[in-house]
Amino acid sequence: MSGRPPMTLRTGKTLRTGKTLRTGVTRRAARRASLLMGAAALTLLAGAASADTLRIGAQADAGTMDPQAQNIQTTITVLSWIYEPLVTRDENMAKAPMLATAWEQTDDTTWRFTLREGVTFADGAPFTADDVKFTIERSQAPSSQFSGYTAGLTVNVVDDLTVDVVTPKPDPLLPDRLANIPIMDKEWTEANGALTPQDLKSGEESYTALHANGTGPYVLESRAPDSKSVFTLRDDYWGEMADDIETIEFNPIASDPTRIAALLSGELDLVIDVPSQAVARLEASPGIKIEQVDEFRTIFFGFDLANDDPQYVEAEGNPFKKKEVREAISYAVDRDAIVKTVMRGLASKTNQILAPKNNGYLAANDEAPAYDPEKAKELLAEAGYPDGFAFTLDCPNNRYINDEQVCRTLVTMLSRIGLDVTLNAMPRAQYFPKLWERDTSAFMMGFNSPFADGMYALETMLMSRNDDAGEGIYNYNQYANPELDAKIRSARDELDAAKRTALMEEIFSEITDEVLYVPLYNQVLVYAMKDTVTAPVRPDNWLEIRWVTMD
Amino acid sequence: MIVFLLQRVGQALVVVFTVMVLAFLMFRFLGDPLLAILGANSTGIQRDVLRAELGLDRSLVIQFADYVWRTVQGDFGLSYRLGTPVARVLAERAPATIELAATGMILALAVGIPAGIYAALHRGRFGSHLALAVSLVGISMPSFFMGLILIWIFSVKLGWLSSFGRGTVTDLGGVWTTGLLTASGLKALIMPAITLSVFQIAMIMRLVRAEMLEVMRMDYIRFAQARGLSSRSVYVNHALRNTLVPVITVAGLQLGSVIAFAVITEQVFQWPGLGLLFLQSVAAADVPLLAAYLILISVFFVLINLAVDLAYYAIDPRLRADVAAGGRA
Repeated sequence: MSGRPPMTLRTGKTLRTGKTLRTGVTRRAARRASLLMGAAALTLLAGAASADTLRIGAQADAGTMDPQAQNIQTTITVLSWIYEPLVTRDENMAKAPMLATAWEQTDDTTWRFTLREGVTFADGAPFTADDVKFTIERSQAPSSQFSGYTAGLTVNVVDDLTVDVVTPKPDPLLPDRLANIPIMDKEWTEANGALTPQDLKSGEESYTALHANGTGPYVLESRAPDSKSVFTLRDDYWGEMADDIETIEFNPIASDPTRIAALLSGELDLVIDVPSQAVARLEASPGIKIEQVDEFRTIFFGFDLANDDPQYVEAEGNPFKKKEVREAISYAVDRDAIVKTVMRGLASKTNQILAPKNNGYLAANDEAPAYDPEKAKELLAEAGYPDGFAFTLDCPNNRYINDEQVCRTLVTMLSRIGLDVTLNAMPRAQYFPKLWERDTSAFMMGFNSPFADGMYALETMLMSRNDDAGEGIYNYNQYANPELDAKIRSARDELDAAKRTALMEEIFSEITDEVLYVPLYNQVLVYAMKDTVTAPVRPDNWLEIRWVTMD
Repeated sequence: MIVFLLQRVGQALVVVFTVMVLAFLMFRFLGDPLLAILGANSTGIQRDVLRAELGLDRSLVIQFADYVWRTVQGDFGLSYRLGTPVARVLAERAPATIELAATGMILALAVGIPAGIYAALHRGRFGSHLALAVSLVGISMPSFFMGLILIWIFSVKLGWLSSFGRGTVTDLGGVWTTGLLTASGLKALIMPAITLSVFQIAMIMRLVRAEMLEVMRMDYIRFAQARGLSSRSVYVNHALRNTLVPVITVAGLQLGSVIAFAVITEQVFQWPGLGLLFLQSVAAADVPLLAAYLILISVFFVLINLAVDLAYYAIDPRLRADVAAGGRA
């Protein structure tokens, strides 16, 4: 593992000074160097770039400045400008060093992290092993939304720049988990009494809800919730940046048309939540460009696979338990039509619950059955339901892109093969609690694995439910198959990376063959920006500010 | 007068308590607030711990009693979504909404009343027809659409005004933020205020016109004219004054609803006020914030009604005479 941070500067990129930048040297560093050389002209030219302000528009604001209180992508993204984890990801979503320069497994359950030397927090305090231990322990609090990533971990400080993290069982994903845990300064957090992410019971606001102190390139300059947050570049940032944009303005704009209008009118430089209906118009607008990538979010449908008489199904027995019925539903869904009309082309159809670039993904499993209502009817008849049956489909209406419309389209498509589906669409605040209670017979779900690895999906959505072990916690279809559980466990405990991947690929193929879920498509993620801005899109919708450039 | 005020305070308390009860019952249907705190992917164990910690596992009656008790003490709790005290969030957002609503109402009265008088006094003229036609558009156009059209023209096409936000605000002693003292703040106010006031302008104009026509048919107007008073004196001192009683009632109530329902306008222009806050809190089932917001709005309505009643005294001498003679208010 190299000791270099993940940023790969595009080779051949030229500075305004006319010099080609060597990989590993920031523009700022170049500027400083030129200062030292006393080349006043060069300094002036390079300095001209530093007055830049990048104005970003997003659908919602970051809810808090505490890096452990909200596992919501917007919050995570904004905080990643201030805070940094031990491990990060490069443009191929492979793990890359951040605050840790190297990591290795010293025994089955122990991981040793070598920490980067000379890194300081914005308040000047040095980054040390104590901060890592403190942060991971803080993230285990009940009010932390990241406790699932760090449950059961023990952290032992070896010396100032070395920590051992002990996992309760062999866990090849530990570095991936820690990529979601930005490091906080122990002294600062303690001095401000913010020992837990939030303390709702006492009614006391956490200091960290509004203040931040990280090792990252930007510091929080000012913050007006739901209005504007301003971030300024640190002079003494340790890492590499593709550019040295002096100021970032983050503008939450809830209304889609207003956000797009603000980009068109030149009030914004970059919009990260682009509604699908605006993409065509933006593409046609001069001075605006679109960047897109398949998102780590697969949309699929699940069905009650456990109860013999499911609550919201009117049929003899539980038809969903029959593979033919699930297959019939898959054949009855015209994925091309949904992608083209409902999603306006901003989705790629699939037949598995895992998106590309995730470990365990096999392109072959994407091959969805061609739309064939006749075949679907045959399958239904084979399963003993020649006249179809009736059931209720639960669906969120403010969670995924076009969620309710997709469900409505599905209802129509299923009616063609004799299934009488009642749509029950509701806001997410009602939808998820309903799923938590397993109070559903058919539901829509969008899932992403936070570690660019399929194991999380297998563990939480396909294993038999066991809350204590964190297994099957999202298996809203209540599927319980000891054989599959055993297979998933053996893949989970496999420490040989290649073998583990092969096992997972096998399991995902089996899930696809058995139609345990009916997958539809992967959402496509779109950013829109001025021509002068470059912002590569990470498939997990994480705007990596270190990659963004602006002319 | 004191009896009258006491009655009003009593009524206000009943209204606020009723709102609390209704709000509390309503929130049961809003969804589980734990979603806002823990996110969509949480484990059952996490939820149980937090549910117990927040007291959400207690019976509804006890939760309500607890809530009323804390509210009486002025403790509205922490917002589930923001993790900050509700009272402070509301206090931070209220100035934006109040400035917008007040500007919108002043605009509505400043344009609506003269336009109504004009339309009444010059019936049948082209200008009067035009005003009526325009007001019809104002009444029927949804405000979000109006807002988007303004944005399209003045931000995208002309580039004169900012399409979102409140511009630069000035902090007045930490209790109030105002956008009225900076050029960008004033510019930012233009489109939202127009969007918010268009409906009100149209309504006030139509109301003033109708009332004015009614009053102008009264005998005392004819007598006043017969006495040879100037038309200006007749229109302003006699006719308009009597027209204003219903106009003030309606405008007062409208001010309440402008504050309460600035939601759409605030959403379109990302105006960081109470309406925007309300929408986002609904989506997150942020119960403590929603409850406090509803109580605040009900207090607004009660206060505005009180102000309207008091304004009657100033405008209508008969009421004062009644009270002086021992009559009921």
